[in-house]
Amino acid sequence: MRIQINDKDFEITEKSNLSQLLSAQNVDTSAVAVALNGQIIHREQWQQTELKNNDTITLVQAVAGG
Amino acid sequence: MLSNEQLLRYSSNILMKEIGEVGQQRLLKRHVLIIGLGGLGCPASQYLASSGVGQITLVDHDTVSLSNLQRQTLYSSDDIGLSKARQAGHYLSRLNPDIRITAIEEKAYEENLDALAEQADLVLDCTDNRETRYLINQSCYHLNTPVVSAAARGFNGQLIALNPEHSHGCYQCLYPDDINEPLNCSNAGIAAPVVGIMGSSQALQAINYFTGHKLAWGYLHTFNGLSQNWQQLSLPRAASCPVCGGQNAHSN
Repeated sequence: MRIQINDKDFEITEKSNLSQLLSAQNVDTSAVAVALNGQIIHREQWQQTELKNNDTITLVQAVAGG
Repeated sequence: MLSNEQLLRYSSNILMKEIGEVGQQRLLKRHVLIIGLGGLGCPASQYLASSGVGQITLVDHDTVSLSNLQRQTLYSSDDIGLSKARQAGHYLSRLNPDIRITAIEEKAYEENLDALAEQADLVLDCTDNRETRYLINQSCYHLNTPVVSAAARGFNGQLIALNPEHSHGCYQCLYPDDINEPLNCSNAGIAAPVVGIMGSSQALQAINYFTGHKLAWGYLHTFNGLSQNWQQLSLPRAASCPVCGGQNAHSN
């Protein structure tokens, strides 16, 4: 299936959840909010969030300056 | 009733059907608390003062330094070493003597935040650090006061409007405590117009709110200054959130 992460396409062969995908892609999640199809998914739900074909994932780096 | 001088000063607001004379009267009756008078707070306070928000409280404990002048547009080279809150207050009072400006030269912290936020109709989080952002979020949820929080770093900006009476998530849900930010303004740099856009967006949200327009509460707006793209992401409430979840929730 095809998954988009921050506007880049990825082809994934195995069924996977959000947590598995983020670790397979080596995403440093320590300062990042993760959204699936426009909705932020809280950390405790990553494991139970199964991915579907054409899902869009947005990684937002935490920013606090001003 | 607006005076002749007010009709002229705010004529550009009054000419628009989206604000009009009724909207202007509303603006003049509102009180906004602006915490942080840096790159976000400068444009935010400037536009709210010039637009005629009747009461503006400015909170910042910091002094102006040379490296601030790249983006903090209320200050000049003569202000270096002087209090940001006080200098901003002087500037804004000259800009618009028709409104009331209060400058508080204190750091926003747990003990003074509730008293400050309690008097305001809306809080603008224009701070530069995560710790104060959590405290502002906590205080606003405790008092049921809406808050518009913005941040910027490099070419990226973020903004979120939170209303404790709505069922969306809060700042704590967005970035739980255990997330550490590796870089901040002073070690990563910041594009001045990007932080200006974010501060101006906070002012616009405040004006829209005060004049009765609907805000997109609970949506994280991200801005990329290189592509100039905005993106909206909805923020649901985290069931386990110690600030807005479970028993602390004001709404369901």
